[in-house]
Amino acid sequence: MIARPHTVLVIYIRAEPERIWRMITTREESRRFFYETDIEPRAGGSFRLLKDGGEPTVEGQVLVHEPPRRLRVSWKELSDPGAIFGEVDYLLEPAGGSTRLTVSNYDDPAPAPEYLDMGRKGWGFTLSSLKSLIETGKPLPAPS
Amino acid sequence: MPGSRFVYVTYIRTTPEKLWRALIEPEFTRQYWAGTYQESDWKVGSDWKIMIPDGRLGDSGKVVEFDPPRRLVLTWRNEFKPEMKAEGYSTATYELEPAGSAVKLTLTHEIDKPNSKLIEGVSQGWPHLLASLKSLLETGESLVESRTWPEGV
Repeated sequence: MIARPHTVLVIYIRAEPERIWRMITTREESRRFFYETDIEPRAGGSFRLLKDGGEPTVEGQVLVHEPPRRLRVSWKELSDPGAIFGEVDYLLEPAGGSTRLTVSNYDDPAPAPEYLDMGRKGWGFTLSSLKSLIETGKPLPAPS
Repeated sequence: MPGSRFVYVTYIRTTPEKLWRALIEPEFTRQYWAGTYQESDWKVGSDWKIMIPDGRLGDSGKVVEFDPPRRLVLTWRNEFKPEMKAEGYSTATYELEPAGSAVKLTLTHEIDKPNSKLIEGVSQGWPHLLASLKSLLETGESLVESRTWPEGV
């Protein structure tokens, strides 16, 4: 596994870790705020993000599977033929009434600054929408 | 010499006007920002400060830009932790942009010093209080653990 993340995003959600785990790892919940996530629930299993038509846009492997605390997957963007496998790590920790979700992005070498900026915005939206969906029942509208 | 910088992007289902008020008005900040409130007349060049509920001064600085409901820039020095106060003034920039029925809020907090303790500290604090602000505006209730000043700090 790659040792150091280049981007770390943190959000606090009013929900139990189990609930957030289910949102992130099940096909029917994940598609409500992100890509549909198709995951074999074990270390070494396959991991894919699917577009609306079912076509994969990201594929990889499950590296760590410890529900409801930690998930780590390798991550290859299929739209980018030159992409290498990066890694994304989700950590869920109780935080005095809420749950702290930490999403860490690993790529070696780290992406150029403009991609880091795009990634931060993209994840900022995704995690904000996840929080809205859990706390209000509605995800955020996709930005135009 | 490289500085230290923290950037956070979040999207909140509200209007820029409501978000702007929630960022600076005591009746809102007391609910999500550990019971604290800000004091300023919000004119460019004026003093600005954050008060801790027990009466101590939390942070202080000047209003650099005040352009409601789009952009707020403050200089910012921590006043209650000596090692952070010694670093002097940082800059916090809030940018609000409409994003459909939501508002994109970008918070940048930076200082012209490498390995800043202040930026390390605020990097822990901002995600929690901005998440609580988002809960307050979207559900009417802030996150319970963010409502009061932590004991012993």
